[in-house]
Parts: sequence; C-alpha cells; structure tokens
Amino acid sequence: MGRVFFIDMVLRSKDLIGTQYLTEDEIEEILTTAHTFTEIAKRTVKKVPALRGRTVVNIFFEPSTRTRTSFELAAKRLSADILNINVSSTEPAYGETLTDIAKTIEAMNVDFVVVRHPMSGVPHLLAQKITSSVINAGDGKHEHPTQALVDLFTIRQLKGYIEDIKVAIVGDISHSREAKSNIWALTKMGAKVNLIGPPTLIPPGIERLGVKIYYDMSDGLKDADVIIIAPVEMTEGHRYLLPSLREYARFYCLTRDRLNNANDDCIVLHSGILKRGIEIDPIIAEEVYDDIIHQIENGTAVRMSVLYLLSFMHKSKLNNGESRKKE
Amino acid sequence: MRDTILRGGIVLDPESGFQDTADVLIRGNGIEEIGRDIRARGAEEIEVDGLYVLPGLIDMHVHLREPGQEDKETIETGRLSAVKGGFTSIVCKANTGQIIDRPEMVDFIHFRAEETPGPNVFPVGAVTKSLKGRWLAMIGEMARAGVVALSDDGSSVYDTEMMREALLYAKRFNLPVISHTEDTTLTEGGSINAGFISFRMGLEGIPAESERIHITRDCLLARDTGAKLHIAHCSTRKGIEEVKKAKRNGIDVTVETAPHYFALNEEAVGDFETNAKMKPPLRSEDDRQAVVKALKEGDIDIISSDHAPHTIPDKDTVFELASFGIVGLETTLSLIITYLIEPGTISPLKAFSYITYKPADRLGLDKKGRLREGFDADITVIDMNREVIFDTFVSKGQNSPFRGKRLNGRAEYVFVGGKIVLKRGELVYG
Repeated sequence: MGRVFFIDMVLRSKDLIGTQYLTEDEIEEILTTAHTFTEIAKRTVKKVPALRGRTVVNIFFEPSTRTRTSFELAAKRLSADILNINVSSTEPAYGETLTDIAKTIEAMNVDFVVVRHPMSGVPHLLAQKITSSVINAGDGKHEHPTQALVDLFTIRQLKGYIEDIKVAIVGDISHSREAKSNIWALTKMGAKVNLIGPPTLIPPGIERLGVKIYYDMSDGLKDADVIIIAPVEMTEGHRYLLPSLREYARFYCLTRDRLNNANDDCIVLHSGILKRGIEIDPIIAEEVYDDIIHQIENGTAVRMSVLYLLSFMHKSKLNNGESRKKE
Repeated sequence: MRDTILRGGIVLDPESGFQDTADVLIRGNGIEEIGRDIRARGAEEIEVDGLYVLPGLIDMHVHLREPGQEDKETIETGRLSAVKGGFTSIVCKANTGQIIDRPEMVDFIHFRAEETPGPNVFPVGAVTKSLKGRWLAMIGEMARAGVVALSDDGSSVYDTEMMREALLYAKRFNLPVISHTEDTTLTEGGSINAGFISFRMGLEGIPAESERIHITRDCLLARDTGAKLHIAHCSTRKGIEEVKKAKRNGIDVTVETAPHYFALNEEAVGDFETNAKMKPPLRSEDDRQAVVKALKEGDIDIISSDHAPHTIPDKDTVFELASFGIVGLETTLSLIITYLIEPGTISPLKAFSYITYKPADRLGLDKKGRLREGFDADITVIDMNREVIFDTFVSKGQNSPFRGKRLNGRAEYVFVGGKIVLKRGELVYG
C-alpha cells in the first residue's frame, strides 16, 4: 500500500453522496486506492489498522444484505468498529424527523454514517446536519455511488481501462439509483454510454449527459464492451409503465441473439438479485456469472477505499482547527 | 379621526395612468383629495418625499390556514404579514383545516378579521363540499355571506362534469371560479418540475402538461357555460399560451402568476432545498422567461403571492415528504420591484396594476384598487430604493427561498380605511 499514505486531500467533501458530485480525479483516486486494498482479501489475516478506533454506523431504512454486508466487511478489514441499525417502516423511529435522527447520531460521536433510505435526498440532508462523514448506500431513485464505483472498478479490472469503452445499460433506468450513479461516473470517466429500455423507463432530459438512448435492444448493444443490467420490477407504481414483465422480457431480456451484437469479450454486470428469464436468459446468466462474482468481491475493496479516503477529511478538518467535539 | 396628508410623494394610479408628484388627503375612511399643496386644518402631515404613493396593494391568493391549522398561520398573523408586505386587502383560500364550504365559515373569517385593525380579508368559498370534488359546496349561501370567488385551490376539481356544473351555478351568483389547474394523475408522487433536474435528484417530476391540460379544459368549459374563470398560479409557457388563445376566442378568463415564477427557475431547488418546493413547481428557465414576457405584454392579468405558510417540521424533512408552498406576503412587493421594475422590464405603473386595480376589478371589490377621490383610503407608500434582506418574517411561516437574499424596495406606510397600520416600515399595533 506504499503510495496510499501520500494521499493528500484528494476528496473535496467529507461525504460521499453521489457520483454526480465527484470529479474525474476523485473517481480515479478511489479506484486506484481500491486496487491496493484488493490484496488484503488474499491474506490470511485480512485486516489493516488504518481505521483503528474509528466508528462506522450503518443505518438502513430499507432492507439490504449485499450492500450492508459489504460495508461491514470493509469497515472490519480496516479495523473500525461497526454498528448496524436497521429501521423498518413499522418502527416508531421511522417517523422521526431527520433533525432528530441527525442529533442522535451526532451525540454518539461516530465517524462514518452509512445510510440507505427509500427516499431521495436523505443522505444529502443528513450530511448537512452532522460533522461525521455520510456515505450514501442508496437513496430513493437518486444515487448509489459505491455500487457504481464497484462497477467502474470491475470494468477497469476486467477491461484494463474505462475511457472510450462502450457500456450499454439495460432496464429500468428511471427507477434505478445504481444505473444513475453509473451514468454520472461513466460519462465523467469518458466511457460511451448507451441506455436501453422502453421509453417509459428512460428518464426525461438525460440526453444532456451525452448518453445515447435505444429502444431496440439489439441496436443498443452493438459493439458493447460492457453490459450493465438495471433491475426491473413490477410494482403498483409500474402499472402505467409496463404491461407485464413477460412483455418486458420479450423485448429486453439479454438473450444469445441479442448478446451476439455486443463485442465477443463483452462483460455483463448486475448488482442485485438476477431475474433469470426476465432480465437475462438463464444460460447466459451462468456464462457471465464470473463477472458478477468479481463485482461482489470488488465491493469490499471499493468501500474500504471510500472509508479510508474519507477518513483523511476528518484529519484535515482537525488540522484546520474546525471543531469536532469528540477528539 | 384626524385627517392625514401624505405630502410630496410620487402618486401612482395604475388604472388611470396618473403619475405625478402630489399630496393625498385622507379623511375618515376615504380619499378626499389628490392635488398640489393641499391645505387641511388640523391634519396630520406625513412627509413622503421621494416615496411612491400607491393604491393599497391587493393579494388575491393567500392561505391564512385558520381555522384548523393555526400552527402554520392564523388570520391575525397572516394579516400582520400582509401589512408588512404592503397589502391592504387579501383574498384567502378555502383549503383551511376546516374547509370554507358553508356560510358560517365565511362569517367566522369575517369575525376574526374584524377583531384587530389590518387589511381587509375577502374569503373565497370552496367549489365543492370539503374540496372532495363530489358535491357542490353551499355556493349561494356563501355568496350571500360575502365570498368574492369560488375555488378548491390546493386541489383541482378533477371531475369535468362537476367543474362544468360549478361554473354554471357560480354564474348565477356572478362569482368567478378560480381554477387550480392540476391534472393530478400527472402530478401524483411528483415534487419538482419534470426534466433534467428531477432526473438528477432522483425525484418524480411534475410535467408542464399537468397545468396546461386543466387550463385548456376549464377554458372550454367557461366558453360553454359563459362563466367567469380565473386561472391560479400559472407557471408555464404553454399555460400562458392557452389562456391567451382563450382570451382571443372571447372567453371570460383571467390568469395570475406568482413572484417565484418570474424570479426563480427550477435550479433554485438546488440539492433538495425544501423551501423552494411548491405547487406548481419552479419551472425551466424558458418558462420563467415566458412569465416575464407575458407580464410585460399584459398576457398575465394579476400577480398573487400564493402565500402558503408551513411550520419548520413541515419543511425540515425528506424532500418528497416536505409540504408544498412558500410564504409570499412579505416578499412579493420587493420581488416585483427587484425582478420586474429595476431591470427596466416593466414600468412601475404596469407592474403595480397587477396587484391593485386588476385583482380588484376581477373580484368586483368595491372602491378598491384605485388612488382616486371617493375611493377607500387603502394606500400603500413604497420606498423603491430601500435595500431589504429578509431574515425572519412576521408570518408564522418562515418557509421561503428568498430568506437572506438582497432585494430592493419595501412598504413604508400602509393605510387601511384611512387608518395607519404600517409606519416607517414598522407595524402599528392597536
């Protein structure tokens, strides 16, 4: 981890709210640092003392296994103490005002708050109210920055580079925070992004980011180096948007025929629970499973990188003489 | 009561186009004389040199919240807020905690408004019972109790047949119907303008068409029924065009906008700024420019604040859960001056017509909206050059995107019915 210790204030914010707020340099630094952390997972003793004595709190207002576990593992490998708080929508605490939640967290003197919430903007509002670092683990339809950084990291790992690479994102772009964070991050890093899906699931005005929109999947997949599948669901809110998942699959399921339009060495990424037969042909799913496993493995390294880099923001704050009650 | 002379101000009467240095003599509750070097024995003299003397300002879109939501605003605090903002008459909407859908509610508003000095309060009655859109409210009885218009504002009358019958029925009592113009099937779940910003923030958008569809529908119904229609808080270029078209076709329709639609665009929502969340939402820069142009060319008839006070917890929450609306009584005048008059876009006479005689005429307010002998002594004196920064408001609601912003112009003196209620920018109690 030689060079990591020379990092000096590469991030501009104490929080990670979204990839839309990151610069190209910041993304670069997070990915480079993550690379140095991948090696730790291969050791017998999978632990470094970088964050010893620091506290990370996971507050999840929405169920999650992968993301929460990934953060937990990342924190533990950095020797931080971690606390998990799951707030389900049936608990009284769910109705607490954000200010009250923020004050409670502030009083606990924690260093990092990893938050997931079903509504957009919660991490942002929380970050304004507390001095701890807030890391967005997914908010509403807004952003899921660490997942996108994992995807970028995996792309670079498997492809060697990101600039000019052709990425096709297929599915429900409108409701997918992962897809949105990916679009911001990928376009910033110079990737060429195609969005594929029915018009009802593509957000308005997104062309402004320089992405191309395809309603026909085969056209959109042409020469793709990477395919990212954004999950599609049928909920009450979707009744205006899709007739059925079956019809969705008819046009947007990743089949052999469609995949043949992409480059031969195309990789396929998916960050959630694979819906075989709807989002992806079960046989293709088996073939690309390794890519998805890479993605999960990388999740921990990237989240370690984020925690590690943000921890420098705390120190620099201290140096600047800004008040931080706890230390 | 002693006579009062406002000495040496620039007197503006937007309706007649009069603009000249003159004195104004107030006697009793009326305007006695306007002219040069007025003499009146025993009169109190107020020097208003360099200040503009206007007919009392009228805001025809205010939410006073009482009865039922007194944590947000009361009739008393709302009226004080109005005085501070230079208004002598306010028109309050029916979507209070208990709905103004029957005559005793109208009496209650009048009763509360007469308890303390301050601006005249003209209630609007609901179109439908409990604003549910299913049954006509007691329109005739409310007309007798003194409502000046009908509106389900806060909700639209979604049922087209209901709206049609309401227009027909309202016509019988010569009351304008104020339409909230929102196609709720298009706006459900939405919290900001649909477009790039709503994508960026991951929020459900409210498309411009939601406004236009109901404007078009209600204009067609107004043509069919011959009723008086007024379009509330118009925010889009398309909406303005629809109204313009309807007027050309001879439909009896007027339209208002609110100051935030010419002062701000959707960018003001920034990153989840709940104090910039209102309905209709702040729109695109193109829409904002269309509103300014329409005000310049007279295609919009009225400016109203859409004063919508909320408590701190109402706004200090997740964006999607935060209440819609901002306070406006105290900022409207400064915003008109700062964004319309100062850049030279619109003359003072024209700009002030939108908050004086035009709303008065549309609502048939007797002896209001003009600075002329024989009219009520509702007068607002303005310092156009005075710099203001709003830290807090007199209103209970502190929810405004204009807090902390540097604006120009404020009310210095306000008279309601000849009685002084604002003196050198400060409220006069008792």
